Amino acid sequence: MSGEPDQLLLSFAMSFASSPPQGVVTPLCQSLADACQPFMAGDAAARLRLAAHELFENIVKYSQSGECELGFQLFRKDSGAMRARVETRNVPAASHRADAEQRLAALCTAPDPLAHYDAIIADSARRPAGSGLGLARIHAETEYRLGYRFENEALVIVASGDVWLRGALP
Amino acid sequence: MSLPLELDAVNTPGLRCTPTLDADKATIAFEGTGDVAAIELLSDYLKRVHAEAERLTLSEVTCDFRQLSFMNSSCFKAFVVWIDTVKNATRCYRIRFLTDPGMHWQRRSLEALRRLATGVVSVDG
Repeated sequence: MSGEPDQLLLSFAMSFASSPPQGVVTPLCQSLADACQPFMAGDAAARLRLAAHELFENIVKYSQSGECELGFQLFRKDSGAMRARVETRNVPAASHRADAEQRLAALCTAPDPLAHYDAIIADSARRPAGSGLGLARIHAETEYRLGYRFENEALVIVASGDVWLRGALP
Repeated sequence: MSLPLELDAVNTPGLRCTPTLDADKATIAFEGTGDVAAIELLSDYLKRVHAEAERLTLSEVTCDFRQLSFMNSSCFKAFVVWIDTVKNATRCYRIRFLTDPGMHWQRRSLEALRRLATGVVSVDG
């Protein structure tokens, strides 16, 4: 391990002063995946789209103040692989804050993401709303690692995972 | 002579569902994107699909996803609810998903639905 920092290759961020319409989520995340598709190998662009869509839709849905941020970064790791990172930031409603924290903590510590996902899916069938399926889906289906932190009232969620460029598959 | 399918094609600005019936098997073709705009429509539509499957004593319902470019977790949940309903129904029918291998999200998402009810759900494509 060289200890060299990851090299930032690509970055974009969007900030919304008031809650963006739900209708903006699909075209934005589709555009992100389309932009990455030509140089990302395998299903990397599809996994990125899923992670971005679920995270972005969550903050649009659950932001208390309406202010929210979405960011995407692509890094080159010292191993030569790439790492994609999607980050969202919002101020969730108080009722959602504890729920989100509990779900994220359970996800981040689940010893078997797939088994945890299956349990959440089965549980969600009987829940009218708020199943936490989106976050669990990111964890299990994209294999991105999820992390989170609170900055005062704001909840920051980060999903990141390895991707490979076309012609650079391991 | 079999009864006609009492289920119309429906669409939102982003998603279209088109049903067809062949003997005791129905196919629903999904086209577009299943996102927040489609949740209510899809949830209601799958309830109607189940009611029709029971009324017509269908043996199989195929969900043709080959033109479905993406589905968010809320729409995914509508399928979870439907599959759970079928799994626990007195008379079960099979649910088959027809996929496009080029749409990478489908493999992982639908495999999760298959695990929910392995005796009910199959995934082809």
